[in-house]
Amino acid sequence: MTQFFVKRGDIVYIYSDGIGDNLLPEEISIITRGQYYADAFRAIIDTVTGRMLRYGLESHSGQYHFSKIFGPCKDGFWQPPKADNRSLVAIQI
Amino acid sequence: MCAFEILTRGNGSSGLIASLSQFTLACGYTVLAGTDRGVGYSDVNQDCIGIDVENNRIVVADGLGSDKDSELAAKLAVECILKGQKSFHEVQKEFCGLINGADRTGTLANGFSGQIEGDTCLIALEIQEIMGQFKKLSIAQAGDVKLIVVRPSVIYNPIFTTVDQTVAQEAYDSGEIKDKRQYYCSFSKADSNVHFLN
Repeated sequence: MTQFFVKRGDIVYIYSDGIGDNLLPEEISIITRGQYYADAFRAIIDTVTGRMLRYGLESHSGQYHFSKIFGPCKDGFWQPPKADNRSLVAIQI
Repeated sequence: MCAFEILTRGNGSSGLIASLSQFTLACGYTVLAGTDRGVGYSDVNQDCIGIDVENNRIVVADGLGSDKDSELAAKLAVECILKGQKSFHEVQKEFCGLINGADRTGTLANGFSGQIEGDTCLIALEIQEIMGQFKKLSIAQAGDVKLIVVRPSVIYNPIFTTVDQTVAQEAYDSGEIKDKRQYYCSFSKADSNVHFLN
């Protein structure tokens, strides 16, 4: 079992790979920085929705193959977008 | 018997926001939770969220792959943890550290439902009260559902991230994959899990 100690003010996020395959943990930290947890929740979902829409439009063009080799995708995120079921829980400590 | 709530479905691309639910745990913390099938993905949502406000427990499960009962496996795994059919410590003992943890959760669900064809990843979280400023998170994990902790008062975040229990992560840890990008880009993590298990 993993244990970790948190304190007041921390925000805990739990998410499935529908979120995690589109956003690295560090990217989630960046896009939620300074936000109230409910706003942070929406920011994560909006970003992932945007990426999933791009995936639908662009996944068959092959352009994301380049990002696998050379670095971040052209939308600035590190992982190629991916469509999947998604779940997100945010807990304000 | 404790009371708990399970979220399983959201409709369409705006489903997650539309189905957003708010809870207040017994320890006083506020929880926002939502799930949907994703944008342009499928008509099925194999994810499942369970929240037991009384006992400060939250489980997020992600049914794996195209097995016909993966949706059911996720729901059953959440139910059996929150109903206490498996204690939290039994769950973590059976799943944690196992690269094939996702398969074990399917086995767990089978134990309460008969034969089903489906496996699930999950994170089970219990928040425990501790005197003073700090609270303890106890985390049981299988597969690639993630938990991170962000602390607004520090520069480097997240301050904590669970490590996936997948074949892809094992390859990264062993040096077979040297670049973290390859972990995310070159491997289909869920597929790796399924191939390994088969």
